[in-house]
Amino acid sequence: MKLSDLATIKTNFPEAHFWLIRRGTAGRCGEPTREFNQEHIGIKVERIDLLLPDYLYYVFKHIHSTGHWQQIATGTLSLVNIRVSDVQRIELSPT
Amino acid sequence: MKIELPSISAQQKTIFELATQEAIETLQQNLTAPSIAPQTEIDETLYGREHLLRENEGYKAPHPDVIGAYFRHFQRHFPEYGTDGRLAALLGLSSDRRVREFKNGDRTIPYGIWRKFLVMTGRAPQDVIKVFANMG
Repeated sequence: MKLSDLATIKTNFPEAHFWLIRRGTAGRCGEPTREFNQEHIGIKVERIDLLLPDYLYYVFKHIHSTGHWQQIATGTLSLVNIRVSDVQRIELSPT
Repeated sequence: MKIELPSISAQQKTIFELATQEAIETLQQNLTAPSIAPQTEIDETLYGREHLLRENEGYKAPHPDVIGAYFRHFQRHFPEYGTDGRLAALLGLSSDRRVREFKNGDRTIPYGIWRKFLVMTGRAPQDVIKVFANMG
């Protein structure tokens, strides 16, 4: 199951539950935030019977802290970005 | 990239723990917030202080002059919220029109919105609610 099966993920999405910084320094790219910016990648969980938005927010905080986005971000040394598709295809494994 | 998807109750437990830790960190950081000189647009002694109280302590909605002075003072010091639209978003309001209505007195500002602004500007403490048990 992919994250896009449970959530709507896109940019310019003020109705999202939270956002990921799509474009920025390598350190900040992919960081979750509660503040809307049309450039950020908005994530709204549609299947809250399976996945709680706040839980996903903390999962993304953990993912960011591991440096995952720095490995796959593209761009110049000072300004990198991640793709919406990178987020959409994250796999979910029920435990 | 693969992430685990535990049961809803396990997710709730994780949220509770991490959100509480995050709140503690934020409260600690709040203690080191910078100090800024008070607003000088109006003489606040002419307007009473009930707007600084909690609802059960005799709260009265602030006069529009106070709202306008406080908001403009905040917006001058934090240009990222310099427009009414950005201030509205910060306060969780639907549009910049609401901010203008509060400033000019066309609409009474809700207690929750005003209290949030008072907390953000160091004029009122945050209330932390005791958890009696995890009953969900």
